[in-house]
Amino acid sequence: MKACKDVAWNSVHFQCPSEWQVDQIGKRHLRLGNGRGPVMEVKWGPVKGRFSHNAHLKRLAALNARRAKGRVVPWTLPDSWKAALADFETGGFQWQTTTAEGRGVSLYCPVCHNGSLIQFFRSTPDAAEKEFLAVLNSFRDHPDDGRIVWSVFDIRAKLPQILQLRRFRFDAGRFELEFTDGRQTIHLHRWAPAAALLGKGNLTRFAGTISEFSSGQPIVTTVNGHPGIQWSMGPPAGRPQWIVRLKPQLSFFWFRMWLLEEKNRIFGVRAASRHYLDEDQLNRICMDYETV
Amino acid sequence: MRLFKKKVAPEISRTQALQYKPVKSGDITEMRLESGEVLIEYPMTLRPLAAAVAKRLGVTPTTRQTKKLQLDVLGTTVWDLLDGRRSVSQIIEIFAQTHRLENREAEVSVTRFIRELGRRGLLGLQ
Repeated sequence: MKACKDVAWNSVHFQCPSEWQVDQIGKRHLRLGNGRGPVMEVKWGPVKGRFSHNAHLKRLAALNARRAKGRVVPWTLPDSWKAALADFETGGFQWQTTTAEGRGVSLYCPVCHNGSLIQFFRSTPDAAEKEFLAVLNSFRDHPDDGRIVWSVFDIRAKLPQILQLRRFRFDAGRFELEFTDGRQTIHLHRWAPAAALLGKGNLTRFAGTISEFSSGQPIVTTVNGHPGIQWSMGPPAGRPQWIVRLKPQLSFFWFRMWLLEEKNRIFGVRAASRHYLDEDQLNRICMDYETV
Repeated sequence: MRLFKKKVAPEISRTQALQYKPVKSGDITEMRLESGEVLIEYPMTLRPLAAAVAKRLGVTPTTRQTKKLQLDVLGTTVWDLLDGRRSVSQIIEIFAQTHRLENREAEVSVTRFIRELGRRGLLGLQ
């Protein structure tokens, strides 16, 4: 297999050829392409009750009704695929339209009770069987250490499993992911190209231009060996905690921004809560937040 | 019954679109500012309906109406790469290398910028 890279998103983690890029992204959906067309798609979600491959297949056929109604049929998985997916309960399928064809596998993980659907498109003739197999070999749908890896485009982060993705945006030059655990919200930011965004200014000046980072007094610091700024805001001193918690607005805010000069990126992490923020957890998130 | 026939844009693939070469319009004047950024002055075009109304009323503009557009650093980088010989994909590649961006991210930025300039009539694709 050629050079490969990690793709990790909302519990799902696999390796794929480095020229494959994420074309479409949803909370539980990824579609990858190789620049000439789609190559692979994966969808996943929790399964309540018993898992049935046939029911899954019917749902898939209904979803693809416009494109491939009646053409989604069961398919016997080759032994190599079965071996690669030995940890899962599996069922194969294939489909065909006038312009494209594909085959895939529906998976059920008895450990995390997640159902996944992986399909490979064959409209691109150069998509090799070996590459598909390597993806399946590396496919995982739950973390082993309670920390979820997020690795798409050029960012990589590792967050506690309790933090759930609430929303995200990947705009050219600006990425933002928002997570919550019910008590706090944590945002991961990434801006590029840093040199053009900073111009002749510094991080403090740049932070002032971003509405979410514009309040408070930044303090110059070093983050993961890179120049950065950090500051926090809380309720006025002396106010009882119970009053702070009763307030509808968030009271505790934490901000950190740092510059990765050699990568020409600016990273930012901010958190907000009605309760005291766990700074150790935030430090660890920053430590594991990097560019690839 | 449809009164007006809907214009159907020719369908081209992404690969084909990236092979086009953007060419600057001859009607524009560009100025380099002290900051290194580019200021473009281009003629304002009347919307077809407004132009038709003006013609009916016998109104002819005495002076040439122009608009100005100042590009930022990133816009200037792309603008400087538009020489009529480079294709969109080549521009994307150079832009990505210059700013150490991923090709995909550079593609989104550059194509959006080129589309916007095209919409204003500042360039065409050949």
